[in-house]
Amino acid sequence: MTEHLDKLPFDEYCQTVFNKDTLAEKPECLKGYRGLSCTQYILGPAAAAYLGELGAEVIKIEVPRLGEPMRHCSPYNESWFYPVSRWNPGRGTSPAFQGANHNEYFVTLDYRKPEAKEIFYGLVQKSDFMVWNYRPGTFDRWKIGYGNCKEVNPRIVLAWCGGFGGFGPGRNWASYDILGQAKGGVFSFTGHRAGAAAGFPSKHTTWIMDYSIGMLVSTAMLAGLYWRDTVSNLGNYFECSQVQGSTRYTEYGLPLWGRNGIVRMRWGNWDTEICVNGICKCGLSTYPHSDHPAEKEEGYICVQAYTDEDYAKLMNLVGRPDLAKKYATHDDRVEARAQEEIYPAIEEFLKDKTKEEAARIFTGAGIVSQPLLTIREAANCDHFLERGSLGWYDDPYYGDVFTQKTMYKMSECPPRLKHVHRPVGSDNEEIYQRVCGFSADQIREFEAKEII
Amino acid sequence: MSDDLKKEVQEAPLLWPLTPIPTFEEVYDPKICTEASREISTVFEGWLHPKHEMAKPEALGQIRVLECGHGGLQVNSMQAGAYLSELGANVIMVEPPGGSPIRKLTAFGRKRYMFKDNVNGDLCGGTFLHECRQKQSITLDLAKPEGREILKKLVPHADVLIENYAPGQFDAWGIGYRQLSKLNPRLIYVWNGQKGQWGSLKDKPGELYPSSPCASGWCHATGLPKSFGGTPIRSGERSDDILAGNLTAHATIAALIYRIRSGKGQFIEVTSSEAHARIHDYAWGWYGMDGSSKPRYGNWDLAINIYSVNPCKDGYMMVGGGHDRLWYRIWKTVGKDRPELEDMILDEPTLRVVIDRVGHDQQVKTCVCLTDWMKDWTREECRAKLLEEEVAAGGVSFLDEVAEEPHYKYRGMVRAIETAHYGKVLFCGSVFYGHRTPGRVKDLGRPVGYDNSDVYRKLLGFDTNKLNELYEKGLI
Amino acid sequence: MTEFKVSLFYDCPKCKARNFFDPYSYWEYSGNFKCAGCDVLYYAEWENGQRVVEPEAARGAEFILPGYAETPDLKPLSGEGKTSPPPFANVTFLGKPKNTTVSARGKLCACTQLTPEDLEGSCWKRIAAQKKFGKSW
Repeated sequence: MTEHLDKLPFDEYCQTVFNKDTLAEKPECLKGYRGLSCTQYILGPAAAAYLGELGAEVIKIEVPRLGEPMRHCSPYNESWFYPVSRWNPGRGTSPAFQGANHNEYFVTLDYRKPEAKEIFYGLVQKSDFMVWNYRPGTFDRWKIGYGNCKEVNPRIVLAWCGGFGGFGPGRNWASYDILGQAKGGVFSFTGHRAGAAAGFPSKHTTWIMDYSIGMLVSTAMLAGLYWRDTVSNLGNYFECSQVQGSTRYTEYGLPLWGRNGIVRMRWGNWDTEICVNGICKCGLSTYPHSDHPAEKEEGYICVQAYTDEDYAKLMNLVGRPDLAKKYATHDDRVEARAQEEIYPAIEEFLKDKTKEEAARIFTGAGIVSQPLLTIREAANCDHFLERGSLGWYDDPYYGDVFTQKTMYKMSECPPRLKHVHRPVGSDNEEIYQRVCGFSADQIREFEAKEII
Repeated sequence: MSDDLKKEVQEAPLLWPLTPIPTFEEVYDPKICTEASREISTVFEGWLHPKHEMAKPEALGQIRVLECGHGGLQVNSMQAGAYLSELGANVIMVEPPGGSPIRKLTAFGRKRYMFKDNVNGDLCGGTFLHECRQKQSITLDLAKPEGREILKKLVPHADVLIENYAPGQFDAWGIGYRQLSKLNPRLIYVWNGQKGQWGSLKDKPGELYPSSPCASGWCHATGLPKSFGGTPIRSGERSDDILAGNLTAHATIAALIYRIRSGKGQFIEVTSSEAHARIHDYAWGWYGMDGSSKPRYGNWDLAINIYSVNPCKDGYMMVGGGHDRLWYRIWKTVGKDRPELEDMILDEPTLRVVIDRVGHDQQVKTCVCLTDWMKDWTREECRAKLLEEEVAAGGVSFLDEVAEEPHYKYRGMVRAIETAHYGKVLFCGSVFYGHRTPGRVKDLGRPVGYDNSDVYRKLLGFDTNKLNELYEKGLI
Repeated sequence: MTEFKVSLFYDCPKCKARNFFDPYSYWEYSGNFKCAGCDVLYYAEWENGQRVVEPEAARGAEFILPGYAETPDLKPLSGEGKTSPPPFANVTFLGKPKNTTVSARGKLCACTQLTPEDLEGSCWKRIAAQKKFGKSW
């Protein structure tokens, strides 16, 4: 088998070991690990979902009947998957829920009911990890905090994630994703320069601080599990705060402020450290006759030519050999004033081209470029479909769904998508019976009392 | 470099902290917090405060990582190595002789923003220093066959190898996963890149951020809508390299867990365009439903109202209230100063139900009313008023404000470290606060080849003569 | 006592329509805008969100549109040529649940509101009918 692989050209070798169609034939990385996701919105759910993709059995606990709030936030109130639960056939779940809840089992539990504590401990005892993102101290107030859980299960790896963390002067501040972006610093230097058109700082399109800090929370839990299984046989408690993640991403920002007293600011679509590396506007739209509002817009293209050679090629191509001479070294052209000359020269050249034409010209000249794809174009892009990062999925509950699939490729134990998500409480019977051992009658009784 | 500049680079003192770091007594002063709040917070502090971190074990203490992420100017592998090193792994960073090109990056090419080595005078950029935390720096020329032979000797000592060279480059050099896994079947080999080492859009040599968010639809959907004068916009930070770095750390530890059971290493590919696609949330589900293409919506949110950043008197202010309870608290706060605005919102029939509020007209009306109130107040004033009603709110902080935020200083999120070669440097601490195995930062980036002697001696038994010989041949 | 000034909306004296100025286009703006109710052009100036010149006779023919407008009895006046075009994601904008039964590529999907009968005994019947294997919940 490996001999056959050794002889393949590299491309084909990769296609074979990362083939999206053979994922299910391979073992799962976290087989046999069980986790609880006591979470809402995106940050905590995402952290648990990443582990769910790797094969852990993740049980998501929601409020009975209506479920968590993220099910109820849909763009423009237009798209919903029905039903939200069997008790609410007329209400739907938003597609915003599917990104952060892959492969999970959905049960309900009202933590505040006295009977719930025992049910919850039953789950904790049989779990390896757990994620929380309620406000700090909420679970401790309900007497099911880390202090209690580690008594019940000393091997449990717990992760709390949220806005500002459980101690310190700001411990009571609530947070959301964009508050994390705003208070942590990355918001302040994303966007066009002040004074330029639309010179406002800009939010990232989607909840990046939730998802990316979710990755880190998930990483912390994996590290905790690894340490538990190889070294100590002991559980752990992690706390990851969203604003800190945002601050962590500011690169040279903090060292620069600490040493020089200079505040990193917005620099639009250009790069502060590398030139040419920026997004330029093309004058024409690819779909001038589209009735779709977003598609009538002009195209944009990302151009990268930062070596002296590539830069000279680019400047000659756009008909400005003078700029090639003027800013021959990288140190010269990365200066702010040089950038202000170079990018407009490129945009001048692109004035009468669509992004596809521009890409063809750049590629022909051996310059790296990437047109900005719209969501519709990306969703139909062969690259992502072939690699299985995006694709259609035949869901038993929701029918034909287009969805993001796995986050990365592994040759031996790849992450995979098993179902997008399910209605609230759809796995109550399954989980409470199989994991906790309650009988069907007991489960019906709990349901009647709205404990689950 | 002129003499003035030399002096400036060398002698600039640390400007931080401008205000003292709050003490325990100030934070938990009974006058400002309740007994219950103090009690639970001090318990958390006992478990988690980074002042205890150095006495605790490290989660990945047994792991050695070879990070060959310096072929181009992508920082994804560097980010990944940083997270693994915070968690305790011994990360050996393999740079080309003379140092990684990333060392030379500085904003607008300004040398005075760089950090000067107080021994040999070399300059190093802030990004490199910040991300190469506590890694060992060695040099090795992988472009030469002899250099690759040395790498092959290092591989049996390593658990993980991370690289971000052009697709297939290492394989062509005979040091790809196919070849190295023969030397060390337990090796976990991670490739980092923008779009992939295979597939129709596979990476071209020299490809960098932000090409991956451009390909995955992310950049097109970021920024203000055209009708507000906006264009697509890239992230200020290298969001794609950061996401790929996060996921590389994630995948690596997952593979380590799998290795406990199977004894096998594996080949992993982490690309940032897939990372962006993975986190692009409802864009895909929405597309699948009716062919919708998620538009740019500036600093407002398509799915939640109010959940937005709007300008105020001295900057920009985030206010969030996705559900009814917060919605009414926000307007109560506004109504204290401007009752007519509160009335206007409460009178509006289409704003009464949560899901009805997210139409575009409703969003404009809401944001205009909110901003008409905020325009008269500063970020701090707005925040204080909104916090009184327990609404999640906060100004957009610039980095000086982030560095001086008492909460961050108290928690050690922002802190300074005395490095051996670059003086005192301000940086962001590890994100992983932990009870038993916290993440931690013991050192920042090191000079070129700083650990050559240590690593090559310890792992390969090279003596001084051998090291000199390699140096003369230009291999290290 | 601070005096508060209305800056970001304006009641047109002619047609009584209330025009709302989105803070992104109008935060620092001097120029004309067009009333969505009666199409009259006005000139005004804003500095840091404060209206420093109250709407007066238009200067020149260039103008931008308000973000949203409504009549005194709260009927929206938005629309093409009236208010600035919203960044819609599709051509069939409804602003309420869409109730489609097929996905973008024409296969059955569960995007329509259901009644309790649809759910009786099983998952959504139309989806279930297509599948031979499935678990009820």
